[in-house]
Amino acid sequence: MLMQRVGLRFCVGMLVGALAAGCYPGGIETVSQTDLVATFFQKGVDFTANKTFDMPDSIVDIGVAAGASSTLNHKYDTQILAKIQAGLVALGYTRVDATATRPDVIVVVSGITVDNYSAWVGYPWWGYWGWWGGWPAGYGAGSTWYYPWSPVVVTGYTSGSLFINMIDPDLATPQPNQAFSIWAAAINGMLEGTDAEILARINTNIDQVFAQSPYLRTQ
Amino acid sequence: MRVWIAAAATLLVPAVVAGQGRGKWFGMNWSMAAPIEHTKDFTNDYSFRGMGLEWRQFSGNKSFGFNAGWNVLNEEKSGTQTFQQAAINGDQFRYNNTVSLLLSAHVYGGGGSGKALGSRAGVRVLRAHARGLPERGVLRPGALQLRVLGR
Repeated sequence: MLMQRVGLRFCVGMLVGALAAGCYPGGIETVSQTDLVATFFQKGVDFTANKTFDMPDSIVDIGVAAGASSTLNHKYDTQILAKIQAGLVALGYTRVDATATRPDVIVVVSGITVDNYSAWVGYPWWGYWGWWGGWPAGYGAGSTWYYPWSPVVVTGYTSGSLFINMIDPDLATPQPNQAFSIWAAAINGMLEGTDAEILARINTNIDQVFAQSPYLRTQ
Repeated sequence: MRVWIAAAATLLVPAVVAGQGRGKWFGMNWSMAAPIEHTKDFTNDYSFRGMGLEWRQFSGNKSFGFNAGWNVLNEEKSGTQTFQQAAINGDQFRYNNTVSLLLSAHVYGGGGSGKALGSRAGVRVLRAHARGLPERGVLRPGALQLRVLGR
């Protein structure tokens, strides 16, 4: 009799545990559910004053500054850069050749292949984009970033995150040789997953970047 | 203040009704929950996820016991949060777990028909305050019950 009661209690305990575990709602099921799009901008900037832009034609791995060897997959560079360009054109910007015409803003795109990299601190950006021939006079080795929204930033990005920076070379910076970022976007972990997932997320996430930045419109 | 109405369709599982006739009673129930007010703002979806355990010790036409219950509400929400110089868009996974621990006292009438009139008082663990839980209904172990509990 005692064994029966102990057995019954054991069965009830197991049943309760199984029901509780089985009932608990699930969490993240697909990679795209982890996507996070963050955008930052400098208050007071007159974005309508900017009409033209240019951008380097590749995505650089800024995670190298964290000591990692670059493993960034450049397979999607063309699609990503084309999508960003299309987004800016849709907002009223015109792309120019910076080697011939000084653009109002310069847009650079980067990614990371390490976790928890602090993307919005002063990494040595000239080492990454110094090869590009479109920089206006005054930019050179030793140039650093100026992020006016710092330190209100998110820094714990995961591997595969993508960053877009819009630089206005006409604005004065607190220190010489700084690149003034007036707008930036971060897409967390976008370059992780299967080919089909990445291609779909390139479209949705970059669309979202511009959807939540309506102030970028040129008019 | 968050207020819940937990509409509990209580299924007393015959297999776990133990000690019947010996002055003890044990039951297990499946409870559902509908959020209202601030809870609804956070997790809007109706929840079928919940369960409870109940134990009663009889003494004459009265019983005293203990009731432990759990409900979880959840909702996945997409949206953009805007700040002074920033905006963030992503999926939010929201969960609201409620655990109730109640002491119960019941007075039974109606002879063998099983009518019960009782009340409970206890502590909801996540809220850290005590409240009463008036209850009136018909108790028939081994049968499907419908009780409306004000929590």
